[in-house]
Amino acid sequence: MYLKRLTDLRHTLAFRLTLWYALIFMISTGVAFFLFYLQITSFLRAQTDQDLLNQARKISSVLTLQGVSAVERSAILESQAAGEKKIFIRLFSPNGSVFSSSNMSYWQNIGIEKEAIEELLQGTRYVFSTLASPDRKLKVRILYTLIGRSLVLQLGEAMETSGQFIEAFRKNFIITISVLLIFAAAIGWFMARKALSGVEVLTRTARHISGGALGSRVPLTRNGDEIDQLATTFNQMLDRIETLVAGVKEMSDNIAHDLKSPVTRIRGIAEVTLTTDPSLTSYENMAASIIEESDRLLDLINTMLVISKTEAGVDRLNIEKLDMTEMVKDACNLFQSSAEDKDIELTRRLSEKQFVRGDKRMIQRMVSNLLDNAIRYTPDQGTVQVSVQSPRQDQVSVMIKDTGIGISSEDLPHIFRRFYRCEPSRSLTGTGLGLSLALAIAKAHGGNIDVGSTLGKGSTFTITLPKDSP
Amino acid sequence: MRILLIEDDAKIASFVTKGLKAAGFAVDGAADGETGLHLALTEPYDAAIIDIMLPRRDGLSLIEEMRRENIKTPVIILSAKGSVDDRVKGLQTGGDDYLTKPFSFSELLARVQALIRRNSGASEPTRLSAGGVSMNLITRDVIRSGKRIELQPLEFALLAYLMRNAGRVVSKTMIMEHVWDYHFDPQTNVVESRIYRLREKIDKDYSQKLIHTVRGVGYVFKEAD
Repeated sequence: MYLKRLTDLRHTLAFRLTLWYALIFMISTGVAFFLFYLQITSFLRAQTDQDLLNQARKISSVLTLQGVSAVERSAILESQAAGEKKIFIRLFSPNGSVFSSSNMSYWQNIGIEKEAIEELLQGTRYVFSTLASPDRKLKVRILYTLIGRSLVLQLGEAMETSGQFIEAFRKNFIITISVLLIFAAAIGWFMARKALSGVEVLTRTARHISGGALGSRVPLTRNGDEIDQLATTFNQMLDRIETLVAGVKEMSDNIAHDLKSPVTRIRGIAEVTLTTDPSLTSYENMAASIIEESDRLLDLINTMLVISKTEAGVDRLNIEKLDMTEMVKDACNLFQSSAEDKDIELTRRLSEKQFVRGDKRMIQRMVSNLLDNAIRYTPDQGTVQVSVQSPRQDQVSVMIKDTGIGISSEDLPHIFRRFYRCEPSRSLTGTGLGLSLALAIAKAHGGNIDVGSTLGKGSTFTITLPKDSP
Repeated sequence: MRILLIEDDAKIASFVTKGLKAAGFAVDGAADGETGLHLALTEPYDAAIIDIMLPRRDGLSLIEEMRRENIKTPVIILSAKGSVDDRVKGLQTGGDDYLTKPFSFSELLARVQALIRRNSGASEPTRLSAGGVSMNLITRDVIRSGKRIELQPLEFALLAYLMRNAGRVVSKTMIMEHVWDYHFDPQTNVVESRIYRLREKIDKDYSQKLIHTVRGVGYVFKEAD
């Protein structure tokens, strides 16, 4: 269990962020320390070189002033004063024969480097080199220089102090960087966790929701950072999902009710015909009734599907350039006879061409649904006015105004809901889906439908759609 | 006229076959794609009705294979899918017409006849006459028993459609879509209203009624039996 959690942890973003943070921290600290180390070692070496130069100059001036024997004495004294383990002095001729030296028992492995002598003979004044003394486990800094006319001075100084210093520095460096690394990892982990805590809340909410709590929302910190923006987007997505799920639920309830009725009727008609009246006429009536009910059922199913697909945007619209004025004129011509049947005056105010981009079949359905409603809910001798205008430069509006029964203020907010039927309209035919379909179509085209109504006086429906250039 | 029907739903195949035979067609049926393809490649047909969802080989690949083999038989595709994309795909594959399930049989019959007519290269008539009514489609004159009848454009188109399909039942949806190129929920009474007006002008003064309602299905233009 613990091992599994640890393995899971390895896959977390926080773990990876911490790892990166620690790695970058380690590399940058390492580089800084390394540069520091280089600077210190070069400083120490420069100091040793300066010591050696001072010594060489001193010996050189002794030679000039007091001669070779004085140099020999001075060399021995100098090495004794500094410590024979610390420095050595050797004088020899360019062919390598040693003329004099300090006590060399500690420096037996230190020989004379031919390359250095050659360099001196070529004219280089001072030649430095660093040799390792394997028996004493230290490095020796050596200076070669010519003194007098033909005498080579070899000065050596043990780099013990600087070696110890560097060793101590290295130890400290390792300890410090280890502590800092642990510290950095802890800080990195803390920072990553803090930064990702919002994501954790988001994940918890999502898990909670998959458990069925669709009402949950991620709490916002309101500081406008990326996590907050993500949470806002997530919440908006949840709002949409909740609306859709509520729609599906409402739809299921309605389907259960509205689809069961025609099926019940079909079954009832068939059963009664079979069991009571086996005449040819009643069978013909049964067949006709079953076709009518089936058509009603299919119409209901198809309309519901069209609404759902249109709202969800899953069905591709067959978009083309349409003259809205022409389409409304066609619709009015089509419904003219229905209006005349009720002695309704169908007036149209259609001006110049108004173009929109849309799916012809869909727009036809939207306009005819509203026009059909206007005629259906307007009593005999009433009026239905239809007009197409461009109220704004980027808009085309179709207004359908009737002197019908009107809609109460209680019903008005709900009329676009699926299957919603106002009290007076219940007795009339229709699926209760016409308006929701019309609105879904308008919205799918980037438009909207507004309604104003007074009970008993009439209603005005206004479709607005984005205008297209002529 | 021979029709090939490739449909795996036995009940649908049964009523379509029955209806087509009643309309005077000879019908060969296949219940799966492979059998259907074999028939399509070996027998001559005037039209084929092919369902998309078929066992052993789907309808679209069947039509593709037919077209590859240069079989030019006109095809009506039957499908439960009715989106624009599905329709376009079906027609691009080589189908000539596309009908969404559930369909009305009279719609299917009208489409089969229209396809055969189109495929036979018969030119559109300029004159229609049936039941003592004659229509001149060029001058737009309508005459019954020597008497001129004035019709509005929408009524003229409706009568022409009914007369072209004389003896066959046409549904409200068919009238809406084929006559007026209009699509909406057939809950409105627009078609009934127009039919009523047309009857007023065509049948009112005559004992022999020509425009009949077939309850639940639609309308038919014929002389009474």
